[in-house]
Amino acid sequence: MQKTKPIIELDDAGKTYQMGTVEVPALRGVNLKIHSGEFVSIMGPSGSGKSTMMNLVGCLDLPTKGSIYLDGQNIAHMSESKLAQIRGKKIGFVFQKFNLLSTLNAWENVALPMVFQGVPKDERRTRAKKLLSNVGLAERAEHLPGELSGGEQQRVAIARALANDPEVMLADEPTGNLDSKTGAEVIDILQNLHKKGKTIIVVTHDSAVARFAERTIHIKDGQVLKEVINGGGKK
Amino acid sequence: MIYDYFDMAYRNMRHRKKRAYLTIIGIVIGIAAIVALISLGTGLQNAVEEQFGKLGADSIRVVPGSLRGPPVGVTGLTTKDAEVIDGIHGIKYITPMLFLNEQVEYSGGKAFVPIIAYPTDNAEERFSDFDVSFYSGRPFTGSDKKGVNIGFKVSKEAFDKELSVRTKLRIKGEAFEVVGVFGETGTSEFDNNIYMPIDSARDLFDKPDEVNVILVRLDEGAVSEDVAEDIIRALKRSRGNENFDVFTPEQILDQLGAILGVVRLVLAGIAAISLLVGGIGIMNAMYTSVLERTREIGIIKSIGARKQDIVIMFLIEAGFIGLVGGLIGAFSGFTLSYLMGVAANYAGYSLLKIVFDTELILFSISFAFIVGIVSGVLPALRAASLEPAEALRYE
Ligand SMILES: Nc1ncnc2c1ncn2[C@@H]1O[C@H](COP(=O)(O)OP(=O)(O)OP(=O)(O)O)[C@@H](O)[C@H]1O
Ligand SMILES: [Mg+2]
Repeated sequence: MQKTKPIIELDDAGKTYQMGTVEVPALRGVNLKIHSGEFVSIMGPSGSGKSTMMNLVGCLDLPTKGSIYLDGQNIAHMSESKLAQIRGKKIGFVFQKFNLLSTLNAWENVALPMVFQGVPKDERRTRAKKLLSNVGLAERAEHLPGELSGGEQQRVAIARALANDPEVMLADEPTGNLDSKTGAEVIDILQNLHKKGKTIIVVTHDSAVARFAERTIHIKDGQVLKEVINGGGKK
Repeated sequence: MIYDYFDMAYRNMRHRKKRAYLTIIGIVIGIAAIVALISLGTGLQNAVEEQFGKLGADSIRVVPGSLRGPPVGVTGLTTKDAEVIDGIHGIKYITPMLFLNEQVEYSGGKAFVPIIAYPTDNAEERFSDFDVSFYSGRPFTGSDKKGVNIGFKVSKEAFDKELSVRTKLRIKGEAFEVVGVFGETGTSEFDNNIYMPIDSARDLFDKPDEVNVILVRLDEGAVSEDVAEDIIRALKRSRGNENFDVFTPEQILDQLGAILGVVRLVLAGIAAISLLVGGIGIMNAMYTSVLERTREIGIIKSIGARKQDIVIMFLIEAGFIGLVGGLIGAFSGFTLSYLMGVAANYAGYSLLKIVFDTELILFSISFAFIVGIVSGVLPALRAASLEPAEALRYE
């Protein structure tokens, strides 16, 4: 982690939700640096603020205090449409619940992020199919999500996250809805992406999954509890 | 890009077929009502204008005054008025007429057929000036004291048995013979009446000098407004009152046009209300759709959709519903009015001349599209303003 400048930097970043009159502090001021090309896992009990942190890093939400730097830019004060552009270009999300659009087939789901970047249709199709074959789903390109297994859907979701060749992949419990075998396949794909130089952040409950990362950050009650360096991300 | 949005809108509608159909039906009804009612209104106007066109652009009508003020002295028109008018410059000839209603008997049957008492001199020219031809027989002449001409529909429909040339009728106990049957004109003035020589009618009905209407046929090149003014001046002087009306074809058309304009406006208003309801239907459906697709909106935002992308997506979907509804509505509305026109003609009222109005069709389709878009604005803004993180949590 000494190798490059940080691609993600949280500087006392905090998020407090307002539930009517009650304030729910989900994140209480986190300092964190993640370097380009790193594979980081985040662990912590339910409700500790993992998803909140991922959402902030991924520009899906704005912090209520502190700063978040993405590639050196502070996103805390950016306009909506600028944030959307960053999400589309620099970030790829993978969710626990796959979150594919049920009306679109596999390749169309993969191609969708390119629609918002104005990529021409033919190019979208070619690239989407290539991404699908990279995750071993070339024959499933025309299938609707409802016709795919959980593991296949998650692989489609990974392909979609890669559509605009983002620098950072954010995966919030990507194996949470999968059995251990298909979960292992998904982790395998993430590891391969890491080897190709992508920055990867994985939220997980499963310490076996967390150990694949170079570093594991433990969170509790909205704060960083400790950081553990794993054996260089190898088995 | 736009194509992609249309594609997605189409898929979403297919995904929620039943609601899409119901929403579209709301627009279809509104647009169909607008197109049908406007077509009917225009058809009515066309027919009326055509009928009046047949009455001749170069003719003026003089009729007794509508009741204004107390009826003192002479009220109706008389043969004297006709003589006064006949002397005016710019007039080719005049046709004084009497309208009568009497039971007509034929081979045991009885029917009330309107009778028009009509001059016999030059009857042929008078008829042909109104484009009236003869289906059979000939116009009556001065020697036909007891001969009548009858309308096409009178011959076919007035009695159980068809009337034809040489048929004998009894009117007020006197025998008359059909000497000619008019060809069908499409105007009730000729199709539905019996034309009787005016001198015979005066004797039979004991109306020595009454006149119900005087048709004035103008000389070539005479200006109807100018002649009308001369008629008014001359009649005022000779009668000493203003108990008469002089109508030029332009005036009649203007008046009718104004009335029909109001009718059309009212019809369009009624139709607009149903379209408004259709628009509210779209709005309702779009709001429901936003709610249902909250999570989907979160997903799309997480992969880089900007606010304006979401707005456009929803507007296009709403506009698409409007467009489809407009297309179906415009053509079913036109078909409806067309069938009504056909039915009316079949039933014997040539009162509806429905023509395919490309402008109306195009206008109503684009209008439906706009209604869709406008109805979609609020739901679209609602969708676009959803917080992505929040939307993704939505179950
Ligand atoms: N939109 C929200 N409004 C109110 N409270 C929220 C919101 N999002 C999260 N919270 C609260 O913030 C805290 C942290 O939530 P978060 O989703 O980040 O936890 P998590 O670590 O991802 O948990 P899990 O492992 O169950 O996914 C929780 O107490 C949660 O109830
Ligand atoms: Mg979570």
